[in-house]
Amino acid sequence: MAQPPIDKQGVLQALTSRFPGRTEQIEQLSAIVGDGRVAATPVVVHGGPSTGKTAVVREVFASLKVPCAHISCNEHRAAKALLLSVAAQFKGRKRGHWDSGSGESRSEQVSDVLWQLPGLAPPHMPAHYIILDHAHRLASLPVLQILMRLRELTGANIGIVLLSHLAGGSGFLQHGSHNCPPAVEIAFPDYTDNQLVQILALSAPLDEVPAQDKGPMLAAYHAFLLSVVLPLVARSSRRVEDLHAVAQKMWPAYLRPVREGSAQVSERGRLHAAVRPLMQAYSQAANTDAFSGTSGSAAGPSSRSGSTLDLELPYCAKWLLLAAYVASRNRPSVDRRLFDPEHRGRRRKGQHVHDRQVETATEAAMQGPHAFPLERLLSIFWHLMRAEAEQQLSPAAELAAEVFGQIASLTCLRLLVQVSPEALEDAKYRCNVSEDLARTVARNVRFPLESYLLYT
Amino acid sequence: MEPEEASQAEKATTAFSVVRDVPSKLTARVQKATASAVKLPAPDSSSVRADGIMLQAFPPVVDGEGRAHRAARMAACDDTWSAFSAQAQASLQSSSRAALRSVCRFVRDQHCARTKRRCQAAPDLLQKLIPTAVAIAGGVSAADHSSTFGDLVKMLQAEGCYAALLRPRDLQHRSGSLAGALQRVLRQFSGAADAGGCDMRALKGWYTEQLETRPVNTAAPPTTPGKRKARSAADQLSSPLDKLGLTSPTGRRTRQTGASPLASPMGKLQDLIHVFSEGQGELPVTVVLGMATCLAMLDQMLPAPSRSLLHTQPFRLMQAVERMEELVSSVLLGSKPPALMWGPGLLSWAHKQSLLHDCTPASLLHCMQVAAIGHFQAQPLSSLAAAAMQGPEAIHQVCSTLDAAVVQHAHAELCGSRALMNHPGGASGGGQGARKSPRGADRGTGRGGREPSRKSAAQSKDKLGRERGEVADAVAEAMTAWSAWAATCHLLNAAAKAFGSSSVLDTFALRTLYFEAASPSFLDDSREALQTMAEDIERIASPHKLTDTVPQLLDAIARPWHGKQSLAQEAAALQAILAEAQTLKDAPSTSTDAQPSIPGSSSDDHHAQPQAAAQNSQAAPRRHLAGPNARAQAIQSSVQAAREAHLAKVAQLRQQREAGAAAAVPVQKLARKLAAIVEQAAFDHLATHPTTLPGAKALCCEMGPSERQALTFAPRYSVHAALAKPHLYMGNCDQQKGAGIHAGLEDACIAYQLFLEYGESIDVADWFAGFCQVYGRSIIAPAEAAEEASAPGKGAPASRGRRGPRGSRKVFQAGTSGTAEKAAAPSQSTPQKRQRGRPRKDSQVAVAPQAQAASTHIAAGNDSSVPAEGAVVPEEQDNAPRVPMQELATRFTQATRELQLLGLLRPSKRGRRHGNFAQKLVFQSGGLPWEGQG
Repeated sequence: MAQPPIDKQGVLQALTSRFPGRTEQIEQLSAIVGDGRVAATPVVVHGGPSTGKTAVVREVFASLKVPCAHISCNEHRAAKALLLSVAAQFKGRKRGHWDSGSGESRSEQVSDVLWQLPGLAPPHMPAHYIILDHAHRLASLPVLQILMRLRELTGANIGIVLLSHLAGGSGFLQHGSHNCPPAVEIAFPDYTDNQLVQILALSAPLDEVPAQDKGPMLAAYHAFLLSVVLPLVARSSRRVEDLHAVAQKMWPAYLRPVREGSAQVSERGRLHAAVRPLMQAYSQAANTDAFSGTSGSAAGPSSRSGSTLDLELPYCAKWLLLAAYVASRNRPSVDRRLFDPEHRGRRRKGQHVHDRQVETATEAAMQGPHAFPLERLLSIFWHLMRAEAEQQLSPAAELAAEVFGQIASLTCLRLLVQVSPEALEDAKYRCNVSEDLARTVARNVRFPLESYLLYT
Repeated sequence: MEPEEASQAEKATTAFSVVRDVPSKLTARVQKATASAVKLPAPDSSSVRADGIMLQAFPPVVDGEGRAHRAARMAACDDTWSAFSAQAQASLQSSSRAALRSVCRFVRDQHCARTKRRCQAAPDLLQKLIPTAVAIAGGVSAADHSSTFGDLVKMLQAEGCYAALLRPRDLQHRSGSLAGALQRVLRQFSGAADAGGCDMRALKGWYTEQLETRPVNTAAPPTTPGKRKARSAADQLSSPLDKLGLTSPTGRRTRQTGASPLASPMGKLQDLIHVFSEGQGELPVTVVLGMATCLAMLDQMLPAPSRSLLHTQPFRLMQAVERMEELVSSVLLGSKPPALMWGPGLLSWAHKQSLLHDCTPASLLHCMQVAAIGHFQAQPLSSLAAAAMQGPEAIHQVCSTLDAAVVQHAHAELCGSRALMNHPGGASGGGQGARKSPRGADRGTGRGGREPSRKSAAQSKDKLGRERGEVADAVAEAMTAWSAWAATCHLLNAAAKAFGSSSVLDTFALRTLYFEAASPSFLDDSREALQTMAEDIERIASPHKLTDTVPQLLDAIARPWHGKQSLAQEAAALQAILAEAQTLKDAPSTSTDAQPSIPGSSSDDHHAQPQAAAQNSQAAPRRHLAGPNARAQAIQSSVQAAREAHLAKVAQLRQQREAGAAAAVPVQKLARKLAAIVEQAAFDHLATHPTTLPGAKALCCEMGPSERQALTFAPRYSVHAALAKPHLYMGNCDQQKGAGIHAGLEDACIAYQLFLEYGESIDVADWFAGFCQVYGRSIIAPAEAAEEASAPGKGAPASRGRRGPRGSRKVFQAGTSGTAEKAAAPSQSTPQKRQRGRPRKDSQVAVAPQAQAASTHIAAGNDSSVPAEGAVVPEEQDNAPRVPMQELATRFTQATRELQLLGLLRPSKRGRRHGNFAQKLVFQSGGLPWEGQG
C-alpha cells in the first residue's frame, strides 16, 4: 500500500516551531535527505552538549518518515553488536522482541550480518540511514571505516549520519584518507539567550493557570527567565536541563506574592524581590546539588568537621593513608632527613631559607600530590608504624602483614590512585586524600602530621 | 585377547583398589532432598551415630557426668547461640532500614515528579538527568553491607517498583559492551529467566509492553519475583515504576592484582549512565549507587560529562561504630535475660582486634561464637544457659534435675570462689569501691571444701537439695548483678546524652562502657569524666530540663532485663526528683520559663546567664584542680558585676527576677541530688563486673588461649608465622627453637625461610641452590664454592643480604635460564657450562664439600650441637641419605607452588632475560632504600 505523500513544508514548520534556533539545521538535514531515493553522502552533525543534535536529527528523520536505525555508541562499540542492532532495526522489529532477541544473533557472524544489509536496503528502495550517536567513541575502531564505506562495500542503499561533539575536521574521521569518504558537516552552535528562553518557555508550568491569564503569565515567565534564571546560571552552565532545574525551583518563589495577593504579575520588581534570597543562596552554593541538581561537589551529610573521622578505616589503613600523604607531599630527598636517625645533613638557616621554604610549600600545594613508588610508601609506612609501636605497643608485625590488602582496599576506595599500569613491579601511586581528611586522620591516630611535611 | 594383553589388563585392574564402596542406602544429601516429599522415618542408627559424634565435642567435664547432661550442654549451646545470633542479626539488619526507607521515599518522589513532567509533555532534552540516590557506607567496612542492596531491591519490589541489582562483576562483560548488564537488568525487571534481549532497545520494548498491557491508573503489581505487598496510595495513582538499583564498585575488600582493576567497571559505569540518560524519555530510571567512601569521591571516579548527568542525593548508611552501638544497646545490654555473659578478657581482646583489623561487628560476633562454644564444652553448669533465657525461676527448676556430680562440683567451685572473694586481696578485681557482699552470699560460705560425710541417705539428699538451691541462687544472683550493671551503663549513657559534653559522651558511649567498664580500672580512668558530668548536671537551673531528662533516665534504667528491679532505689529517687521538678514547673511564680522574656535570660543557656555563672562559680570548688584564689575571686567579682548590670538593665522586672532566683534554689538541690544518684550508681554497680561473681561461671564465656588460637584477625601474618616459625605452629617450641633452617622442616618452610633472606625479588636458580644446600647437595660449581667458602661472611646463601647480588655468586647457566628442574638438570653437563667466565681448576672440586662444611660450622658459631639461628645446617654428609637432585627439584617446585598458592610470591617479569625471578608479596620490614648503604 502506497504511503500518502508528506507535506514537507508543514513538517518543517512544525519542527522549526518545536526546536527554536535550529531552523537552518533542519533545512540542511531535510535537503540532504531529499526525496529519500538515494542515500546521501555521510553527514557529520557536530556541536556541544545540550545543543539539540540528537533530538533534531531523530525528529527530522521520523517526521520525514525516512527509515533509519539509531545507534548509541555508548552502548555498542563492538562491530557485531552494532551491526546486529542495525539489522534488527531495519527489519522493522519494534520494541516487543525483548524476550526472543538473542537466539539468532548468537549464531550469526559479522560477515553474515554485513551481507544481509543489501537485502534490507536494496538500491531500488528508499534509502535507509544509520544514525550513530556519540560517533567519536568509534574513532579508533575499524568499524567506523566500515560504516562510512558501507554503501561502497555492500551496495546497500544506506547513508550514515554521525552525531558527535567533535567536528569531522578534528581528525576522528580521518578525512581525506582512502578509508573515509568526504562528509557533509552540519554545525549546531550553542543557543543564544533568546533561544534558551524560547526553549524553556515551551515547558512553562502554566497548566493550572486559567486560559485568560496565560498570556500575562507567559510574559512573566519570560521576564523571570531573562531576569533571574539566565543571569544566575548561564555563566556557569548553558545546559537546558540545568536552567530548567533552576527555573523549576525558583518559579514558585517568584510567583508567591501573586498567589498571596500582595502583588500583580506585572509588578516585576516585587516578584524579583521575593526570589532574591533564593538567588543569594544559589550564588553561595553554586555547585551544590540542592539547586542545580547536576553538578555536585557535595560532601553531603557524610562530611563532618573536627577530629571525628566519618570514614571508617582499619588502623593499619589509616597509617598507610598518612604514609601515602607524606610521600605524595614530600620530596624523596626529604625522607632521609625525616626517618634516618644517623643523617647529619647540613641545615641552612636564615630568613632567606625560610622564604624559600614558604615559596616551595606554595608551589607544592599548587602542583598537587605527586606520584611515588610503592617501595617508598612501604618504607615510610614502616617507619611510622615502628614509631607507633614503640609508643603504644601495637602489634606492628601483625598489622604490617596485611599491608598489601590494605593498599588494594585504599586503591579500591580511590583514596590511593595507581598511576602506573603494573600493580606491583615499579608500581606508582598518588595519594588522593585532601589536606582536611589527612589532618583528620592524623588527629584520629594522634600523629603529628605537620612535623612530617617538609617542603625543602 | 592375547595372553600378554590379558595379563596386562589383569595387572591394571589389580593395580587399583576400590577406595569407596557403593553406598547401600541413601546418602545424607539425597535424604535431605527427598525429605520434603517422603515422610521421614524414625531416627535410625545413623542419626544416633551422628548425635554421638557431635556429642564427642562435649566431653565429660566432671567425673560422673552423664550422657544426658552432656547432651543438655550441647542442646543449650545450640539454643542459646541461635537465639543470641538471631537477635544480633536482626539488630544489624535493622540498622540500615531507616536509610533504605529514605531511599525508597526518594525513588517514589522522583517517579511522581517525572510522571507529572511527562504529562506536561516536556521536550526530550529536559529528560537527560538521572535521579540518583547515593548510599554511602563510609568506610571499608562496607562488607557489612553485602546484603544491604539486596534488601533494598526487595523493599522496592514490595512497594511496587521494578528493581534490579547490578554488581561490579555484571559490568565486566568480555565483549566490552553493556550487554551483560542490560540483560541482567531486563531479566530482573521482567522476572523471566530466559529474557533474551541484551540491549537498551529490548529494555525499552519490554517497558512499552508493560505500559500497553497495563493501564496507567490500574497498574498491576510488577511481575518481578518476590512477594507482592500492598502498595501505597501514591503508587496506586501512578504507572508501574521503573527503578534501577545499581551498586557501584564499593570498597569491598577485593584483592585484585590485575592491571587497573577498576578501569573497566568504571568505563562501563560511565557508558551505562550515558545510555540510561539517553533513554530517560522512554524508560525513566532511578539509579541507586552504593559507595564506600563519600560523595566527593564520585567526582574522582566519574568524569564531568558522566557526573553531570546524575542528579545526586546522598543517603548515609549506618557505620560500623553506630552499628556496634546499636548492637550493644539492643542485644548485649538488651531486654532479654542474660543467658550468655561475656568476660572482660574476651571483650577487651575482641574489641581491640576488631578496631585494629576489621572494624566490624561481625568479627566481634565471631569471637563471641568461638568463646561460647568453648564455654559450653568446658563448663559443666553451662547447660543452665538455656534455662537462663527463661529467667531465674527456670534455673531453679533445671537445677533440681542436674546430675549430682555436676551439682557437687559446681557447689564446691562456688564455695571456693566465694571464699576467695571474701578474702582480702582476692580475685574480685574490684579495685576501689569494692562491692558489698552480695545478697545471700553468706548462705554458702564456710561449707565449701568439706568432704561429704557418710551420713544417712536422707541427710545426703537434703544436702544435695540444699546445694542445688545454692547453685541456682548464685546463678540468679549473677543475673541480677548483670542487670544492675547493664542498667547503670544505660543510666550513665543517658545522662551523658542529656547533660554531658562531647568528650563525656565519648567516654560514656554505650559501646565504650560495655567494653571498658569490665576493666577493674575503669572507674579510676573515668573518674574525671564522671566528675565533669556531675558538674554539668549540677548546673541545671530549670525544672523544665529536669522534667524533660529524668524520664529519659528512667527509660534507660528500664531498658535492660530487670533493670528497674535491680536499680529500684535509684529509680525511686529519680521518680521523687521528677515529682518535685514537676511541682516546681507547675508553680507559675517559680517557673523561670514563665517569666517575661529578658534578653539573654534563656533558662537553658547557662553560659550567657549571670545566674548560671554564679552556679558555675559555686560548682568550681568541686574541681580539685581549680585555679588560685585570686582568680576565683576575680571570676566572682566579674559575675557579680554582670549580675548587677543585668538587673539594672531590666529594673522593671526586678521582682519577678528575684522570685525566679529564689525558685532556682530548689532546682539546684534537685540537680545535686540527681548528680549524686548518677555518681553513686556508677560507684555501686560498675566497681565489680558481674562476670566476676561466682554464679556467673555458668553463663560467662571467656576467651582462653585455645580459643584465641582458633581466631586470627591477621591471616597473612598467621601464614607467615607458621612458615617462618614452624616450631610455634607445631607446638614443639623447646625442641625446634633456634634450630635454624634444617632438613627436618617441611619443604615449604625451608623454601619460605630462604625466601625471606632475599629482597623483594629472588632468582629462582639462586633460591634452589640454597634449598639444595640445606640437604647437603650443591649445584654450585665446586671451585666457586671453595672460593666462597674461603671468603668471610659468604658461607651460605641464607646468610646473604637482602637482595642477592647478581654476579656475586654464579650458578649454572641452565639454572638461571629456567625452572628448578632445569637448574637441577645440568649437573651432568657441568663441564660445558663451566667454560664461560673465569677459568677454574679442576683440583678444587674435591675441596668444595669440606670448605662448605667448614663455612657452615663458622656460621653455626662453632657449636655443632646448637647451630646459630638463620644458619644453613646441612645434613651429615656421610650418614644422611643422599637425596637425588631430581627429587629435590620436584620438591622445591612443589614448595614454590604452595607458596604461590598462599599468595606469598608470584612470578616476576623483571630480569627475564637473565633468568626466572620470583617476586615477594610479603611485606618485610626492610627499612628504607638507603639502609644498608653504610
